[in-house]
Amino acid sequence: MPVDLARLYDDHARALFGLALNVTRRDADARDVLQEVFRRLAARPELLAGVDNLRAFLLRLAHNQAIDLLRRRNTREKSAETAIEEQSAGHPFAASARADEEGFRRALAAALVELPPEQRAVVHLKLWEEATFEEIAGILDISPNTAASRYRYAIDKLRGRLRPLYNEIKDSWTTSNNS
Amino acid sequence: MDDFEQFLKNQPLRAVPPEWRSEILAAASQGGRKEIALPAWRGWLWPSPYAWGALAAVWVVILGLNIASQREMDRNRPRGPMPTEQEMVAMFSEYRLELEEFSSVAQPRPAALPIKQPDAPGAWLEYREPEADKVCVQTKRAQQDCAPTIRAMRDSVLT
Repeated sequence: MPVDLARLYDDHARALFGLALNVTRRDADARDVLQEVFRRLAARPELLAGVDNLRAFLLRLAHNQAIDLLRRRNTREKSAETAIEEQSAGHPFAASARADEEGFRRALAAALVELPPEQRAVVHLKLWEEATFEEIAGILDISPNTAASRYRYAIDKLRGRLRPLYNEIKDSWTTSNNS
Repeated sequence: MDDFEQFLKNQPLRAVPPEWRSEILAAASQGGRKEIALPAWRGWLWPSPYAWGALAAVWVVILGLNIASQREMDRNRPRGPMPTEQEMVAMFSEYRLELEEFSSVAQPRPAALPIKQPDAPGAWLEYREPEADKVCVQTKRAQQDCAPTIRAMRDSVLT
């Protein structure tokens, strides 16, 4: 069964890249993940046979690939340099012209790095892929309850870390809108 | 989803660098043709393939040794039918007789040790009683135990 790789890429590459980048925190790794997913699809088109939710299936492939890559990387180079590099590179958010917004996005990226990869993946899928906990469970091969509890833990941590900055931005926006 | 979560959700993600598209699609279609499906057992060895591989090799060696030793045991096992209980008893009796015969030939019953002349000093102190193969030594206890026997022996020698 021939696979229209170009179409698949146009439809799903952005989502796969976002998840891969959020999990691996490196542009180069995210690219490797993306390439590996499409290479596998080209090599084994039968993988797509009988797939109901194509996006979820591709996200699952990308997540598995990203986790494999993380494991290999962790065993190869477990060093402080890696952590520092992770915090500075692989920023998953678009740049903003507003300084406070850009500052918040950087702080959010840094806060996400502090989460374990499995919580990071759940947050990413819930917030930026708008997946339900059932869908997340299917993608990450966990139970919906586990997905929900990971999401709650992660959001609590992010809230604790980003609340002051969030309140500051919200207040400034409210003030500017009122004036 | 509360305001905070909604605010996080509204942060836009980066787009895929546009130059990747052609590169990834070209690499995928080239690499895809060359892919050789990895055997399914490779997945079992994840995440420490060397450690699991070594453990599997050790198990294979142990299994091999086990099978080899079982074959050896089978080879040494008697092929004919097991003897009956009566045959076993008869065989054992025969064996015991042979053993007794052999031991009597190889080790003759100890005769009395040469006895010193009764007049010789300390002659009564050492005597090996032929029946019981008992040696009396120069201790108070031994003297008491052996006194009747020594007396009888001395009498027989003197007469």
